[in-house]
Amino acid sequence: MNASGENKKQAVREAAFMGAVTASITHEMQNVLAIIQQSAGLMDDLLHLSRKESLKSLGFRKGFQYHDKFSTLIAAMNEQVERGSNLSDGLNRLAHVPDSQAETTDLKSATGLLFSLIGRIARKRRIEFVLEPGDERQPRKAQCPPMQALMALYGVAQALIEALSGCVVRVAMGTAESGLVVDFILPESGAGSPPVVLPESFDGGEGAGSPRATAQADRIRLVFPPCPADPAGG
Amino acid sequence: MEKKDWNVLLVDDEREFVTTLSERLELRGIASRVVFDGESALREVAENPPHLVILDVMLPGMRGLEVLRGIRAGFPNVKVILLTGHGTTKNGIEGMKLGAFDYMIKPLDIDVLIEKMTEAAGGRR
Repeated sequence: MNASGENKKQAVREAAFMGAVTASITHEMQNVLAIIQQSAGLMDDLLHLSRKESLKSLGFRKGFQYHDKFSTLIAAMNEQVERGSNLSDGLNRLAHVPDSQAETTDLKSATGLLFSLIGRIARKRRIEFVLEPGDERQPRKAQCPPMQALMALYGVAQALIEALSGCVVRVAMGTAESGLVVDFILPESGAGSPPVVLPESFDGGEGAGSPRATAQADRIRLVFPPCPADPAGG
Repeated sequence: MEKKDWNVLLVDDEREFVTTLSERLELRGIASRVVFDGESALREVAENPPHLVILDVMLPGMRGLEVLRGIRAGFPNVKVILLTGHGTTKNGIEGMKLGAFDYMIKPLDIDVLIEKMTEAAGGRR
């Protein structure tokens, strides 16, 4: 095996290791969150019970002084459990990408996953990616392995994050003659920003089936080869 | 709270989670027994068959789906609701094929769990 082949194999092993460890930790995180959620739930149950008993005693038994404060804190804990659960879910899905043997990718699902994962990175530049709902009947499965699709989407998102700040980037999916497209629509307020520099990997050097990106006046367009088995949506 | 005449077994190796869940069910009139591993679960089911088992899929040692197979083989009338995590829903789906009543993803909403328990106890599926 030549050096390039060995490097590729090593990269696959490394990605598999990172994926396995991350997936395992996300399972643990879910258990941690489940314990916090049930503990907060039990506190809430007991709080309600104490209020009920206080009401039943017609005021002879004094209610808990910090009832409302505790209720607010419990609600905050539940919100954070939900937030943590969504983050853990995204990380888990990312961790399982390297072990996917699939040759096709659901672009809507991959784009949603990417934006959930890079939300914080984008927020640092006050950028928000908004995925437009689109037409559910449109095909959305690309003939492209999930990791490659995710890296292509990330490549464009990263280029935009580096070039823009303080704006909303709408992301729309559709079809064109050349295949399935994901359009990152540039905001008008971004017109005076530095030009978006796409990564070198989009110069067409990764084989005929690779996604390709082109910079247009108002958008960056990623084109994916369509999956022949998905004529009317996945 | 109206007391439910159900015999429920909770199986999960996360002790804090399962004991707290048991306490919350108790406050809602649902008495439950708790065990922390698959072998104990099968023993409990054999000694005093419950109506319902709430079973975590990711148990150490004997896995949840093995426990499910054991329950389905020896006690087909016992309904089993599986608990899975995000990313392991395929275990939940596999469990449904093996005869589980339903599956839920952790962290879980206790009201939704009780709805599913009520459906299972009523034999709606």
